[in-house]
Amino acid sequence: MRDDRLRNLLGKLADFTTEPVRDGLDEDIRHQIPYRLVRHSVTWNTFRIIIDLRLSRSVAAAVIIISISVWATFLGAWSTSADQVLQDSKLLIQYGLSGKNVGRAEVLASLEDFCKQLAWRAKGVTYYGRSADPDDSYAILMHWRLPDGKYRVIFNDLTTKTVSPEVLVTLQSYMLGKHLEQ
Amino acid sequence: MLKKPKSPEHEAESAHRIDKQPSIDTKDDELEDVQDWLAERLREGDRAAAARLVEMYYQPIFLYMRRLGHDRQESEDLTQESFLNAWYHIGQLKDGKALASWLYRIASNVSRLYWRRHKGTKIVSIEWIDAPEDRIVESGNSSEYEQLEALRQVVAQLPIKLKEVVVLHYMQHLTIAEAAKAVGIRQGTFKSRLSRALKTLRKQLP
Repeated sequence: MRDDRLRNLLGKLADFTTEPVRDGLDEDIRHQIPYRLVRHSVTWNTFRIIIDLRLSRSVAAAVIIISISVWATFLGAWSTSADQVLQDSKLLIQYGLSGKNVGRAEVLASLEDFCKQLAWRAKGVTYYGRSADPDDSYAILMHWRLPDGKYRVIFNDLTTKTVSPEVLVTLQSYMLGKHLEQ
Repeated sequence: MLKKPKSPEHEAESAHRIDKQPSIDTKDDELEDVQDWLAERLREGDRAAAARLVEMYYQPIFLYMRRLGHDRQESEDLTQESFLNAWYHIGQLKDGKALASWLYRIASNVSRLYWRRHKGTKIVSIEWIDAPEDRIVESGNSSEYEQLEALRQVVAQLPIKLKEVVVLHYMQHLTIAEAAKAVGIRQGTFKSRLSRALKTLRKQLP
């Protein structure tokens, strides 16, 4: 088959593989827009990436300290950017002392806002937030009931899933079991 | 599966629809303006802009997930996850021109992470739904449907790296520059992957 023919067919395939999206999906996504849409600094994002990569705390700290020294070398003198470095260093120290809870506190604050907003629009809104085990990616941060009777669940690692009431009960039992173990 | 050609009345109706569409240049200019405005407002933390972004992109991102081989439920979940991630990475958004590639990059990462976490999950080929029948009438060539069906199956079997570039460029209609940014590679590398993908498709198609 010739190249141009193949390209032409691929273009047509796009039209043939268009399917309708579930009604209400856009509404669900809009409900998850955080109340505070914060723009994080580049350096703070670097920390988040390092945290997301799940490097050990000491390795992450070493990488960040090296980055700060490189920054300082480039800047030569104290400047506004250096102020940002200072702020980020404080976050680094916080991170070193309290681990994942720095980024987590920020996420939980946004989720709390989202939860308050959702409370009057959706039924069965339940927020677990800080009581969820930070090390357990299956722990539930919050859930709410959808019009079709299923539940929308946000997990600790910020993944979301629509589950049946039965699955939700299983997840809650699992969480409760872990909680009792502790 | 494949839909049969429609009557001449439908053909006339579809021709009328095509006449009413704005010219491509106008559409592109308008889109650029909206994207610039959106990017600026998003950087300022405007929730209304975030809602507009959802309105503009939730369907394309959902279809992107479907075309990458996720089933309907997964695609819905991953679309929501992509937007949720986008809200926490607003700081990485540079300007309006980068809006689509920024969002697609997040979506690509979410999809890759999913495959990594769920190794062995069956890749689902997107179904023929709501095929634009006016196009079938235009071509009037039944063997074309067979070719499209074969192509759909071959695309579904492509390795994920090659499938991504084909889907982004030919099905999501991103430019080479945008699509390369969305995958996080250089334009040269993107072109080379695209050519490798086309070669594979050519080999496997009758």
